Amino acid sequence: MSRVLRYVAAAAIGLFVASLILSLQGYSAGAFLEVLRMATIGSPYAFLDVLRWTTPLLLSGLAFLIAARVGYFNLGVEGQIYVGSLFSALISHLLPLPPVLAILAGIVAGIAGGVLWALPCAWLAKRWGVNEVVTTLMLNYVAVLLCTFFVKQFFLAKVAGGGTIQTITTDKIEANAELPVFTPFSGLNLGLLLALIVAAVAAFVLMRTRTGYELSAVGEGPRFSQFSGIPVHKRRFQAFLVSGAVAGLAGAIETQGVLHSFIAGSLDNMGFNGMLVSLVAMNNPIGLAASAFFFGILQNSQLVISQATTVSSYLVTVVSALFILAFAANPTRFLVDTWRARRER
Amino acid sequence: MNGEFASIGALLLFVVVAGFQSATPIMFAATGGSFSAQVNVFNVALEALLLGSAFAAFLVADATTSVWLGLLAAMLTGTLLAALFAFLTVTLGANEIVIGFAMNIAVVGLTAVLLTTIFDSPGSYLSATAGKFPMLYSDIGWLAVLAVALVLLGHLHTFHTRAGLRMRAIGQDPAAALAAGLRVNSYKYRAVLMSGLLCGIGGAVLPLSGLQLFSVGMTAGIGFIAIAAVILADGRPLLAGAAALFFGFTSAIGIALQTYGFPNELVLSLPYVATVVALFVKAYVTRRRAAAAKAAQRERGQARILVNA
Amino acid sequence: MPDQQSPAVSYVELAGISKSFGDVRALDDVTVTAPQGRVTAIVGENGAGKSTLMKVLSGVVTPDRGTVRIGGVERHFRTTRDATLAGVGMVYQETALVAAMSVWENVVLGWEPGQRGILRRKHARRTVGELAERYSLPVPLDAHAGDLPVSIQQQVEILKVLYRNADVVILDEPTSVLTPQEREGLFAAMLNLQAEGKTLLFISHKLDEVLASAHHVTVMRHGRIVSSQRNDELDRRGLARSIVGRDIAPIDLGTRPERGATVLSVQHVELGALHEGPGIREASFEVARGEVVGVAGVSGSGQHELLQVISGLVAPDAGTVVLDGRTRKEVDSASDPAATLPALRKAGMSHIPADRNAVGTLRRRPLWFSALVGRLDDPEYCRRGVIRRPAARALAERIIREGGVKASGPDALPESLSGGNLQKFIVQRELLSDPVLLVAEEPTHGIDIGAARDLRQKLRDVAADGGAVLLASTDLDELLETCDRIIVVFDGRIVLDADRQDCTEESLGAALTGLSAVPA
Repeated sequence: MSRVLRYVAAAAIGLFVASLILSLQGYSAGAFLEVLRMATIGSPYAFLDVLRWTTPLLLSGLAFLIAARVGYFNLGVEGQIYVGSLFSALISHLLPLPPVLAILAGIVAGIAGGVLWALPCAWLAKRWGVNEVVTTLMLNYVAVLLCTFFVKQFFLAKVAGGGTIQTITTDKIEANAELPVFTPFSGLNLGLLLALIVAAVAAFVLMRTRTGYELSAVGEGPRFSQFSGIPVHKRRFQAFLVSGAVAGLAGAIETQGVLHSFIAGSLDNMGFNGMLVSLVAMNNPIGLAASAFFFGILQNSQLVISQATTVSSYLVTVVSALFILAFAANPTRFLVDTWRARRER
Repeated sequence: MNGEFASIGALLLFVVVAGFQSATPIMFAATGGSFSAQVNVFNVALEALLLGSAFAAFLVADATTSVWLGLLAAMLTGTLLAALFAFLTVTLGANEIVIGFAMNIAVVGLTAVLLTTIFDSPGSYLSATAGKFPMLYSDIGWLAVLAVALVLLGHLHTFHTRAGLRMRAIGQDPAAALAAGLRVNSYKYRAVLMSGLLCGIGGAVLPLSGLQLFSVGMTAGIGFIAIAAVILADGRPLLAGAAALFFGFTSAIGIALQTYGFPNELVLSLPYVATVVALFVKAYVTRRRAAAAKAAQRERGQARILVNA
Repeated sequence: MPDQQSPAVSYVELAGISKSFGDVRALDDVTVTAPQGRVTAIVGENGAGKSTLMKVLSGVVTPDRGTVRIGGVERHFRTTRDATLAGVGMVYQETALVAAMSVWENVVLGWEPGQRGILRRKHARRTVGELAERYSLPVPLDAHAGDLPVSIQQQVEILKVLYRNADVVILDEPTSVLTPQEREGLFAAMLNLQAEGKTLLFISHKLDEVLASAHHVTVMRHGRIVSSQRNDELDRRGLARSIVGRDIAPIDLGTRPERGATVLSVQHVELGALHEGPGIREASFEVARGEVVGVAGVSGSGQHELLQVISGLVAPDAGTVVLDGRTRKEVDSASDPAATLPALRKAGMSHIPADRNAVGTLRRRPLWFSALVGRLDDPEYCRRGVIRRPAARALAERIIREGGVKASGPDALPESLSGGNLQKFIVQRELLSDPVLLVAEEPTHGIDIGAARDLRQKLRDVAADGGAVLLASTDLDELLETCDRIIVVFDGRIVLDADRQDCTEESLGAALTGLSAVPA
């Protein structure tokens, strides 16, 4: 009951602010609801686009969640996705392979990229106790800059006619490495299936297996874990790297499924939104897919807003952040608690 | 920047000027963050406070053509945002990292929306009316002097005032502070609000010195760098200020290197890399020192038996 | 026994105090008075309400009904600060000092001298120094509080109260952390306070101390006053009965078997300075079947670390630990602790940790989660990496049933259990595997007298069944009552290893503080 109240209160606050901003711009009070409607069932392909966005959000949410289960805040999912995406694109250029193998190679490369980018933070946290919040955030900036540098320096797409281009992008990957799309009208691709399988496996492992038991124990009771003979630091380190791997997979699927190249700037906020996805699911793997779907709708609304209104599509960013603020602060619990305390006194 | 510097002197001068320029907002934020750290509030919202107040300063200065009104607006905005952070984390007990980071996203989004709405410009806007803070020398503003002064004042506050003693006690052991009769939450609020006020000044520096420009996400992580400075200094303002200067100079050296043909992106990533390296060095040194202290304590342990006897 | 002079005027009067927490009636119409210049003892089991009563007096808890009078003036405390201003100060059982701050800073904290917010450091330090001299409490003013032994920390707490001009000093179980010698020091300090006209309230559950120091003894049970008598009118047995409400039978030590085969052999164990916490030097001893061996030491002496090494949580730098259990396990210095612990458990080691909340259980997971400690290698509970929940639940249910744990079932959260019940759960979990060696750290800390007695009996039963028990405790009475042999650790060395018959409180106390050089 209180859980439902928590979601409703958070949604109400987000909706209120969005409607407020829109109405200040002269739109009707219900404009944001209309945006949400258009983004989900407004056109035959809108729903597919929601699912297209759900795919990376589910994975980046899972990446954040796995680290959070052992008590780490992996705020570097953003950068890990970047590197994963670039690696996936590069392997296709450097190593042309037959159909299925090319897809696999891209995915493996993406995962490797994510792990590589998580590795320094994981090692610093495990071996030296360096706060992972700051290191992961710092490496996000480095990831964006380095990826841009590498592409500009070595892999910049050739423009027909030799003109200059605005976007930093690699050439298109080999067709063999592309994940098949379901329809030509939406970016929705086989990656969704892949993401769902990965999320289901992760949920099973986290909830039902010894590994999941140990990860929860490590996250919630490090001293209990040590007492139980669980290698605390090792499990944490492993979870951090797996978190990076999942983020890298998200990057690979973006490259191979939708973008078909590495494009700087096109992955912005994907990692941060993953954190929101995981938080709304309350770090519970079961609720993750629903949460990713919810944020998929918001993500798709961005497009609708920028097409149908003069308001900045950042409005959706504001709404999701406010939603999280209200959700994490849980104002309803506060009200219930103070009311209860007053009665006790 | 075109070409290389005429002399080593010119290069040094450039690094000093650019170093102070980039360090100024970080120093404000790091000093403010130190207060939060002293009461053991992990103020991840520094970045949000900087960006929010930067926008407020830009908006008000553009409308009124007064940088001082802009500064005032920034200080107000920083304090209000800090109050929100304090309410959500201290009073409601929400996670500081989650709230701080979500506030960061919210402020990025909100400033972008407002930039589009008010200035009709999606990415960035150059103001013709905003003006800039008075400069002491070249691009070093008087506010850089204020930043240094506030670092010193912060030091005095920490170690030579009642409130400083109490705040440190609350941060180190809230239960003990409570037992001593301190109102723990009110000092936490006080510390976080002080962070907000200082971040307000730091934020105002960003759009109102050099180019009168506001762009979406223009803080580019310097709030997080300030957090790193605070962590490096264990919440001591003098050290945090020094760390902020170090990071500022790192980026200045980077810009200087650019003129020698180093790639733009590599140079820009220098301060971020320096932050990670500095955190590592600190952890390494701390651990070495703890081991040495432990060994020394064992030596003293021998003597303690004699005292007891 | 202190002198019994003519009756003094009541300075503190608590009249008709009642307080409920939810459905629990913590205090029920309690009336207590305490005269000036005297020690009034309040005794009772854990949960009898004595702490709540003192929290009412010190402003931590607001009573539902009743009045508080200090020096004849009725007071309504809403915060601890109100109580401090009225001259009431409390010295807590667990010292509440800021570890990284100096002694004088701790004393003045919250009431610092100074003008316009500026701290007058020199003045403050001098004031504290003068106060310490006046009450003969010789504390090092500039030392960090965290570096001091507990007995000195307690003196700092007393100074803190005196600095705030307290006329009423409440001492909450002050001796539970002290050695017998330190206890005498505390009693001397209490005499000083009496001479200065302070009103002392002394909370304790140790009868000897109460009889030795208090003028007046009030007994509480289940939130009510059951007796209130002058010290010279009391007898020990009657007092014990009125505290518990029934007679407490001494535990059955059983017939001590012939010294059996050695189960645990600790040889030349060293733990170096690089390890966090105190080290261990040259520790060697053996434990045989059928023995309960006590391990004593003041906090920070290395006894905790010694038990951590034995239970496989910390790898020693040198030396050998041999557990001759169901499988023989030798641990040497190079071992990986992560691999050592499961091997020790498999060999028949069980461990009751000191901290039942953070170490013994996982607070926010159902009990079956915590029941699985050490059993994940058993295919009964975990097959091919998948946990078998029905089996885990059944296990937790069995522990609850056989341990007499009051819990709603295997899905109850540990944080919903009372301290005593949680401890019963942990003890039963560890006993379930018929331990060859049971390592028990402070198992009776914070649980009531009756339950503690039952628990000691269980330890004896393990020994009677041919197991061996290592019992670490800071309660010397407990060790003397339960153990066959007692080992004392001081400054990382074993300074005493003697049969119980050869030990007295005094000889143990001397060893605990490093005064005697009894060869191990």
